[in-house]
Order: sequence, then C-alpha cells, then structure tokens
Amino acid sequence: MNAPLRVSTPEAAPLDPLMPLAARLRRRERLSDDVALFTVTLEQPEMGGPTGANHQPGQFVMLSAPGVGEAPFCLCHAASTHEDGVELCIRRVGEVTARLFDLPEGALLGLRGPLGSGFEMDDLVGGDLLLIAGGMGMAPLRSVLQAALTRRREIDRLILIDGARTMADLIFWPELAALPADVERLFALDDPSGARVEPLITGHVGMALAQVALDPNRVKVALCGPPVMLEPVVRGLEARGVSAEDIFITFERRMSCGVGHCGHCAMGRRYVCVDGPVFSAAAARELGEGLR
Amino acid sequence: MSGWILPQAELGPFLQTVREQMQVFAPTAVEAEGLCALRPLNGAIGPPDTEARRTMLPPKKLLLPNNETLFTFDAEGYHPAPVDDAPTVLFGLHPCDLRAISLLDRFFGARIADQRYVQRRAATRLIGADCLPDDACFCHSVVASEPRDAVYDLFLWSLEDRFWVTVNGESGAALIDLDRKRFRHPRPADRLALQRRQQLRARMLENGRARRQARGDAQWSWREWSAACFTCGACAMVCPTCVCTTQEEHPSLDGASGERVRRWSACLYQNYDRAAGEHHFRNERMERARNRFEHKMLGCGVGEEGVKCVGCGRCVVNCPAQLPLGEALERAAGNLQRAQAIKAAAANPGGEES
Ligand SMILES: Cc1cc2nc3c(=O)[nH]c(=O)nc-3n(C[C@H](O)[C@H](O)[C@H](O)COP(=O)(O)OP(=O)(O)OC[C@H]3O[C@@H](n4cnc5c(N)ncnc54)[C@H](O)[C@@H]3O)c2cc1C
Ligand code: SF4
Ligand code: SF4
Ligand code: FES
Repeated sequence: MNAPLRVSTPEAAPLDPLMPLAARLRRRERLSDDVALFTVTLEQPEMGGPTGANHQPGQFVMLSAPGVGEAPFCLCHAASTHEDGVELCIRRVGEVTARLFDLPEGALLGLRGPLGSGFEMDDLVGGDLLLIAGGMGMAPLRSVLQAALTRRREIDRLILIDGARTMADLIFWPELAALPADVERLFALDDPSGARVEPLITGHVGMALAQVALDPNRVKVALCGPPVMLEPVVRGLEARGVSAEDIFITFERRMSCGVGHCGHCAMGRRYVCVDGPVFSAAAARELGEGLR
Repeated sequence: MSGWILPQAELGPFLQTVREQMQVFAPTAVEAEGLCALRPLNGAIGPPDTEARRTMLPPKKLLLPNNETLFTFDAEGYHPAPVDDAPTVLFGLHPCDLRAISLLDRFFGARIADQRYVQRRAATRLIGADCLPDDACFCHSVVASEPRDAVYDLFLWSLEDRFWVTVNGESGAALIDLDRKRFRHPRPADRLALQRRQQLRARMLENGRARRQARGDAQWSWREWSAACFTCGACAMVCPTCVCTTQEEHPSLDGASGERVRRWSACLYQNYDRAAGEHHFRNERMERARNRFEHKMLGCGVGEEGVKCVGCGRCVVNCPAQLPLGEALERAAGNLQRAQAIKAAAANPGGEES
C-alpha cells in the first residue's frame, strides 16, 4: 500500500527561530560599575542571524549564555556604523547577565535575531528630532543617534537629552561629549558631583526637557527609559503641543521566545517582541498597559 | 453534503487498518483517574465511545508538547533536538477542538512560524466526531460548535448504528482509501438521519444557552472574579488555545553541555512578567485575569484579532475555585457579538442586509 499519509516536510528546513546560532564574545569594555559594552560575532554569519550590519535601530537580539539561559538586549549601534559583530550594552542584574560578565573573551554564546520592529528612521527625519534617554535607555537610542547622524542633512535640529543618577551611571559619555557641535544636548544628573559633561542640569530628564525650546509641529521624539520615566515625559511633551503620534517609545517587557509565541511580553493585546518594542505613545496608550 | 457511510461495527476495524500506517490517539476513559484522556489506541479496538466526554488535556498536548527539548548545546554550539513527527491520527476530536487547532495553526504558522509545531502538524491527520453538549459546553456562543474551518480530514456524524463521514480534501480521501471496502455510499435515509442528528444537536446547544441564561449569569466583574482566583493556572493548562510557554535551561553536570526545554506556563502566574528591579506590569490578580480573558475573547498580536475561546468548557470543569468562567466567557462573547452587530449596523445605516 502506498503511504498517502507521509506528509509534506519542508525541503530545506528553515532556520528555527528559537535556536541560537553559535557566537563568540569578542570584547567586553566596562562603561560603568555594572554596565559593559559587549561585542559578539556569529561563528557562521552565512547561516543568518544578527551580523551587526543587518538590523534597524531599536531592534534587539536574544543572547544566550550556555547553561544559564537567554535574555533580550537591544542592538546599541546603527547597522551602517559597525560591521564586525553586534554591539550590546548590558547591565549586570541577574543570572544571565552575571554569567556574561564572568565569561572570558572568546567564550561560546548563542545569538538569534534581529528581532522586533524598531524605529522607522523615515518617520523620524524631515524635521527636528529629539532623543530622550534615561539610564540604560541610551543603549537603544545610541543606535537611533548613529543612524540620525548618517542622515544628518534630512534633520534640522538634532537634540539629545540624556539623564542618569550619577556621572558614573552615564553610559557612553565620552562619545556623547564628543558629538558634533550641531547636535544640541543637555544632560541631567540627580547627583552632579564629579560631572564631566555639559551642559548639565541637576535633576531628572523631565526637568531638562522643560528647558529645551521645541516646535511641536516639527519635532519627532524617540524615547527610552525606565517605566516610571515614560509617563511624565510623554505628558510633558503633550503639554507643549507634541502629538502622541510623533512620540516613539521603546518598551521593555519580560521575554522568553522573542518571536510572538510565548505570551510573556504582552502589553495589552500586543506582543512587545514582534509588534514592538517600539510603539508610538498614541498606540501604547490605546493598549492600556503601555501608558495610561 | 457529500460523504460516506461507515457502519458503527466497521469503525474499530477501520482504525486498526489506519493504525498499521500511523499512530492513532483517541479519547479514552481512564476510570482510575476519573477522567478522559487522548491516549494512543493499543490492542483490539472495540466500539469507540462516541459519547466520549471532553478530554482533560486538549489535543494541543500532542502538537505543542509540554516539556519539550528544543535543542541541546555543547562546546561546539547548539544542535536542534529531533522533532517527534511520526505520522499520527488524532481521532474523535469534537468541533471545538478542531476549531482550536485551526487557531493554533494560524498562530504558530503565520508571521514567524514555529518550526516544531509546523513539522508535527504536517504529520498529523484529524478525524473529528460530533458530540452532544453538556452543561459546561458553550461552543455555540463562540461560533465553534460546527466543524467549519475544514481543518479536519474526516468528520464523523453519529447516526445510531452508523456514521456519516464528511471528507475534506485529498488527505481525507487518502484515509478512506486505506480501507475503502468498509465504507458505502449514502442513501436518502442516511441524509434524513444526518439532518435529524444535526437538528438535535442544534436544539441541545440552543437549549443549553437558554438554560444558562435563565439561571441568570451572576453579576460578575473582574474584581470579584480575581479575588476568588488562586492563579493556579489550571484553566490555562487545560485550554486548547492557550499558548503561553517558558523556556528553561537545563545544564548537565559537566557544566559545558545541556538542553533548553519549553514548558507550558500561564500568564496568570505572578512572576510571568517580572522585569528589572522586581518590576511587574500586571501585579494585581485582577490585571492578570483581565489579561487572560481579554486575550481569550479578543486575541493578542497584530493579525491575531478575534475570539480565541472555543467554548469547550474545560476551564469550567477544572477550576478548583469553581469560578463561573463559562458564564463570564459566554457573556463576553455575547457582548462582543452585540458590539459587532451595532458596528455593522452603524457602517450600514440604510439597514439593508449586507
Ligand atoms: C527588548 C528588550 C531590550 C533590552 N535591552 C537591554 C539592553 O540593551 N541592555 C540591558 O542591560 N538590558 C536590556 N534589557 C533587559 C534585559 O533583558 C534584562 O536585564 C535581562 O533579561 C536580565 O536577565 P538576567 O538573567 O541577568 O536576570 P534574572 O536573573 O532573570 O533576573 C534578575 C533581575 O533582572 C530582572 N529581569 C529579568 N528579566 C528581565 C527582562 N526581560 N527585562 C527586564 N528585567 C528583567 C529581574 O526582575 C530581576 O530583577 C532589554 C529587555 C528587553 C525586553
Ligand atoms: S483554574 Fe480557576 S483558580 Fe485556577 S487560575 Fe484559572 S480561574 Fe483561577
Ligand atoms: S477558555 Fe475555557 S472554555 Fe474557552 S477554550 Fe479555553 S478552556 Fe475551553
Ligand atoms: S517574548 Fe514570547 S511572545 Fe514576546
């Protein structure tokens, strides 16, 4: 009897989106007490996966420390600026991140991605662009900043507001301090002692924002920071006439699969891993759980 | 409706023949445990229990297995774990469970496909069976009471001493061809019997709904419901359309190798959304309850809008807190249908039938 029940199996099985690709830890450079910049390269980039040159600003990867587990990290550089692997800016907070800090350079890691839908640079250029980062929020916004610098001529005013608790927590400060002069900037530190950046205010990013002149009809905003920061900043912007449609926020949620199957990252009725992590403030508010 | 007739006495022998080609799972009463489970058919197959109750665990346990090794790792890197995709027939699935599989097919097949689900599903054939609803069933209210999505290969309507077998597609016909001699063409009397059976089912479904309505669904709110919920997650484990899972790392003792395992989980668990600084986005039980039930009723994810509850009643009969989940879901479905009707009427102010 023939076997009609043998069913179609795909000829060349596509890449399993859950399976990490072998990668190596190339470099780890301390940025602060508990934050470091990691450079990770795929062993076989021809197999697919994040090379550092094939992502959009705001997209993320899942990075595995074999034997401990996997965690999401955003790509903190623009694809156009960097071609020898992915750069990830990672804070040591728990099990996976602790192992990442302890492993020797050259260690085997797992990498999958690029995942999620990032910032559409086309939506951000064409007028003024305001980047607002709080703490680790500078990691994803660095990719937007680098992408914006490559399209500098399509942007009128390019403005950066970056806040942290102390000078020691201000990640990437040397390169931010060295930005071209036509990038307007304002730093905010809760505790300004020993500050090495300027212009500087003492306080939080909301207070810095109040000091920046804005044309609400021309400005697009990219925003990333801890959950408690988002709501007041969005309200502050709206109070000055900026439309919630023009504010783009990258959200963080617990993740497990990163590909829209496991449910961990739900924000209202959307999955942050595939429908985001970048949502407009208007969309996030409609989801209920993003913004109120 | 075209179809075949299979005498009841021939069903066992037919399944024996199918079993020579593929493993066959069927609802099996497990008296010792007082439940009904989808189990492999072994040994002689007697007359199948066409009045089979709902299985405690849904067919998703075979398509998205709990505790599945996704891959292994060692000093060389990561290696895919084999997928158990032995040709399989799931027999006796009720319309709600067929509907649930069509929803899973869409969820795991679209956008970024889950390779393991897709591969296993491609090796799976579905033989549905009609059923008479009990008091926990409300498939009717969530439009899942009929074998509609053509997700099955064969569907059996029970007509006293015989089955009317509806065939879907080539894969369904191929199943019949395995043992054609046991089937005959329908006669007018069979058609009449099929109609009577379908009318009886429709009446029972409608009566059930009326009875539950007459009992008056208790005034019900997220707050009250969640105050009594244990967040044990039983309702999610037994749900044929719940998809929440967690990946776990299982290192070996040598420290250099191990495996990653995917387990069923539930969005009702308190640390399901735990993030940096012990931050929770749905810390209150009420918020987690709302999350699950909103997702059941409205779906989650772009392109995933729509009712995801199929009214199978599993959560109703398995909730240890005996919460009125069926009434809540059924009422939510009713509200949804009314809202859609109002929206349709507003979009069509002339009031003509569309
Ligand atoms: C889209 C996205 C992008 C991210 N980008 C970065 C980044 O660029 N740099 C960076 O340092 N971190 C980033 N994170 C957060 C990072 O994923 C978590 O810090 C990491 O998962 C912690 O893993 P762990 O095993 O070390 O912690 P665990 O041992 O799991 O937990 C320890 C602590 O970390 C918290 N935690 C665990 N998982 C998460 C999570 N997914 N998100 C937030 N907190 C968590 C726990 O609540 C606990 O306080 C991102 C998260 C998302 C969702
Ligand atoms: S089964 Fe009942 S008690 Fe358990 S989580 Fe579901 S609703 Fe709550
Ligand atoms: S929510 Fe309850 S009734 Fe609905 S499909 Fe899931 S288990 Fe069945
Ligand atoms: S992380 Fe699994 S659905 Fe988003």
